[in-house]
Amino acid sequence: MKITTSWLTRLIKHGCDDAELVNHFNSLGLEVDAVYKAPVPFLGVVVGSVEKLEQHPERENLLICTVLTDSKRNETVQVVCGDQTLKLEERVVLAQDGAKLPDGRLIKKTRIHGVESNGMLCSGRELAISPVHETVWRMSTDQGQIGECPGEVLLWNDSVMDLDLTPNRGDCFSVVGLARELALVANTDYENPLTNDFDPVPQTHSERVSIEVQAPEACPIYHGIVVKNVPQDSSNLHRLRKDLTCCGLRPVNYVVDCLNYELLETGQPTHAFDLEKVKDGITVRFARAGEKILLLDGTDVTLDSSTLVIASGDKPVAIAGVMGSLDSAVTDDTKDILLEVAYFTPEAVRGTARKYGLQSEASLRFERGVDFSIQSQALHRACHRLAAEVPLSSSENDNTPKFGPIVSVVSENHLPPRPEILLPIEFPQQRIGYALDAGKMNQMFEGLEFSFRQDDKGWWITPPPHRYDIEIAEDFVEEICRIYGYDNIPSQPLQATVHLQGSKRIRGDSRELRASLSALGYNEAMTYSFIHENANEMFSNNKKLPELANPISLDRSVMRCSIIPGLLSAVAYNTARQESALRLFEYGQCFEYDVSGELHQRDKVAGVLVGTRHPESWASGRESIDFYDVKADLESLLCYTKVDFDSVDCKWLQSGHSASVKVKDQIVGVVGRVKQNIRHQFELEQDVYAFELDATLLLRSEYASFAEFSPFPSVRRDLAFVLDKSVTIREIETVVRDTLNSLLWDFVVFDVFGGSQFADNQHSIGIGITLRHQSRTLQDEEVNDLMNEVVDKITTQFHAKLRT
Amino acid sequence: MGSVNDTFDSTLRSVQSAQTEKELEDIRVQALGRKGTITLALRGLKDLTPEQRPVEGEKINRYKKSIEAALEQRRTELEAGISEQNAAIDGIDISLPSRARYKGSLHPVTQALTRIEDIFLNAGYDVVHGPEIEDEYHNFEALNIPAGHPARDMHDTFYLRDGQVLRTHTSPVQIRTMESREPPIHIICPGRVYRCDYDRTHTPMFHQVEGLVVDRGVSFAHLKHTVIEFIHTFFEESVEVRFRPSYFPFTEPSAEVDVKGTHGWSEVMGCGMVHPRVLSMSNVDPEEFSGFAFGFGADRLAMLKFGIRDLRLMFENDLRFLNQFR
Repeated sequence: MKITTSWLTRLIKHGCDDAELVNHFNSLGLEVDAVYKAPVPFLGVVVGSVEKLEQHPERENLLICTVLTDSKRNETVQVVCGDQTLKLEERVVLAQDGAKLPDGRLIKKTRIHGVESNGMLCSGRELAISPVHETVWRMSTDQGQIGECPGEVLLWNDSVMDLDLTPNRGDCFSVVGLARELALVANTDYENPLTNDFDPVPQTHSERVSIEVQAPEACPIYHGIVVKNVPQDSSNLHRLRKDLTCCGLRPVNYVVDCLNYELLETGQPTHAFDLEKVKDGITVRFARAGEKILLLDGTDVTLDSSTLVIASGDKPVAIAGVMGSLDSAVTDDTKDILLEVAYFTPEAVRGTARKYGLQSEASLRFERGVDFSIQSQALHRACHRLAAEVPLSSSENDNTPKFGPIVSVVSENHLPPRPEILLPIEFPQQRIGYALDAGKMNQMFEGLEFSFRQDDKGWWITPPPHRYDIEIAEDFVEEICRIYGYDNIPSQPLQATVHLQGSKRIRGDSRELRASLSALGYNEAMTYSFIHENANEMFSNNKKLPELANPISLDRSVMRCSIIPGLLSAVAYNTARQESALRLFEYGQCFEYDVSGELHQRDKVAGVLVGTRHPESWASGRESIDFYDVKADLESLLCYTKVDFDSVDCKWLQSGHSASVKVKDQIVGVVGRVKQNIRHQFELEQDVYAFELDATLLLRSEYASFAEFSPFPSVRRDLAFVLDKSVTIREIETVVRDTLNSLLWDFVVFDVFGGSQFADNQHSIGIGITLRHQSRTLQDEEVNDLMNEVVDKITTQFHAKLRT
Repeated sequence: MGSVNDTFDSTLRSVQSAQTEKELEDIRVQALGRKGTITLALRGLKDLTPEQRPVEGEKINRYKKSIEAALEQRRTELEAGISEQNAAIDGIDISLPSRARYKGSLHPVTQALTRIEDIFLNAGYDVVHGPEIEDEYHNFEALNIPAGHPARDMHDTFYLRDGQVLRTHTSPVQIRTMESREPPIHIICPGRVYRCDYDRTHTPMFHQVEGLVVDRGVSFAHLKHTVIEFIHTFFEESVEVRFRPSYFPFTEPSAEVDVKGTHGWSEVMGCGMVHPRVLSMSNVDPEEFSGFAFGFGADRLAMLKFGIRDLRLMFENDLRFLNQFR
């Protein structure tokens, strides 16, 4: 809601400056988004002084006028002017070559009957500050400096306040409402133009339109009045239009502008129909499904049966409280109108504007709740306004509007109830945590226009018809706090019972995983949880995707089943910026339907790696990372538990270069080299290694338990075999383990190499075996026997040759 | 025999001041060699009276042992000195770069969240997580935002095709907690939330932390204290804090909290006393219990803490950005 400071201060007794206003509004909960100077509606217009006047050589009624526009540099402009009353040294307003006037006219230099004219002296009407057009506008010498824009000393010496109002405060969508709030804290009274002692509009004809309300629950009040001979000359509307434009409303025509002005001032929307189009009488009813209406703003709407409409004859002429039809709208030529001042309930309007994608000043207010006690006053005020802005010059031709009898349909029992609410005596102190003086609270309630009585239980309060947000005792607490000032309430430390509790996560929670990966050299990334539909398909076997109905863009339309696509995009983003080595990880929720259609949301942790094993240095080569680097990272990450790797068939990893990750015999994720076609989709040229684990399966909730270790010395034996490459280390380790059982203390592979000395499919592996007995020192002979057994088994089972 | 005493003392002194292996050897020969002073003195014992002999013998043997020990000690000292000298001679260039490893980092939002969580964990609050895809009941209805309520416009909600929503705040976690636990409740709920919005200060995904306290006798003054103390603790300084009335359907009274920075006030938090309807919908008796709730963007606090101007940087994952937060 936008409002001008001058309009607001017209209604309050003691003015405030802008800074005070902003503070007051903010402390009341009416947030001021911005304050700015009223926008001047013209460009290239300056104050000037008449230096020289000469008669036009060819036209008697024209003057050649030289205007001083810069007194220091003595710059002047010559214009031809028709105002014979001009005198030397008078202050005038000059529209220079290239100037733009409020009505949109552009001023260009020209020749008038052979004399050069480099601009125009403006009349009051041309400046939109007065209806007078016959003479040019004169300024007094104390108004503005020569050469300056006159806007700020004319009508536009004003500021605009842009308020961000919360949806519960429909009562503040008017100048009256804001003035009422201001009076609560600014130590001033305000003048409510909607008092009960108003001047009734004099009835000067008897024409009326019949009104039938078929849906009184949605429209408890409907007043209609026929206004004939409505004015069309809007030349006197300059002040009103300045306020309207400052408040964000476009000037339309005499009737609409007058009614909009009243709407902003009082908060009561009104509507004018072209009388011709509603001659058959007004019916307020719900629409018939499929009924059509072409609205004022040009949208064609097919109505449903929950939409309240104003109909005439058989045709809807307005969506009630939202917008009228184009056909029944008041135009510049309209002579006679039907003026509607109604009260539609919030329930009747709420949702309608949104459903049809329409938002209007009227719907904004009706759906939040309009004061239902002001419709009569508002109608009389609107009529007075229609009569008040007629230009003086044209009033001689009796251009004043003529008012008929008011037709009213009111069903009071459908008005929103305002039941008495009990505010228990001790309640404010309990909820606020601070005791306020009862007398002070009474004053607040009066200022808020609440009617109330007191007994030994507390206050019995009836909220006023303009407040829709007061329903329970807590609502009064907010009012009290708000007016007292949130910042004036002392704070108090919270007290609570202390309970002791241990952590349920011993190892592997998100904090530890993050810290470990960061220590392993990974940068933590955060990527969007929504990804491209295609990206999801690359990583999920599931046909059903958690798709957004209203995505922010097509490439962010599906909730991710995997973190990997986000990380691959992040890698691509960085490689496009000359980063060739990256390790990124992310921890976060992923989303996937299972076969039964149930949605699972699980925390995952994922990482991607590209580039060299080590940062470039004198000490290391420039080897690219490989599977065993990532495998090492996972073993470090999960050092608190037993991890196994098995070959796996994964949708996005290359088979033969990927593995499942098993923790305690449960698959928790995968690791390996990303398929080429997938990395190409992300425009990645280098090999990418990646892992993704289900973080919920990595938690360990029990502590390690101590086992007695052997105090006896260990024995190490090294063996080297030449064997087929197809024999896996796991197979060899299994043989060693099965042979040595509890004597095996450690098993390492210290060497793997192939070369021309071996057959193509063969290589050499060197293994180191450490043995230790739990309860005695091992003897050389028994170790030799055991080693012979190991060598026998390996050479026979795998056709291996022992290297000596 | 005074001369033996004198010789002994001067021998010990010259051992201690000897600078080379060679000097030590000369001293040894002078004292302990075949014609050395001590050797000669030992030989001379036979000329003494039987009474003097054992006394003098014992003394000279003591001298001999002392000199031997001193020689040994000095020799060790000299060897050590030589090896240190040698080490210094063939020392390495310690300015040569290390065998470098990659250095990781934690995301600034993670760091801010950790800090926030610790502040509340230390005070006895629990950290509770919940699903990011929510049903409308927990995201809206249970928070006193029925369908068609104008407050739904304040949340630019992402909908899934199946009618569920991406949570617009972490408040649903508070509801789930109240549904499953008895008061007193002291929790914070951090996590990702989603709203259709994108500019310098809005991204469609961001991180929120919501707090909830439900107990007997909880008041607005308690809320104020908790919020102010949190802000001062988080920023490690007594920044100026301002409370403004506001509107949230799930709290009454409601407030926005502003923090004064170098560029004036900036909004950091929303809070209020939990609406009695929200309590009773989650089976908490509002006659017996009251509570407060607060919520704020962790990304926004991280921006203020780290001096980041553009929220979008948080999710671009540019290495030049991430590496600054080691």
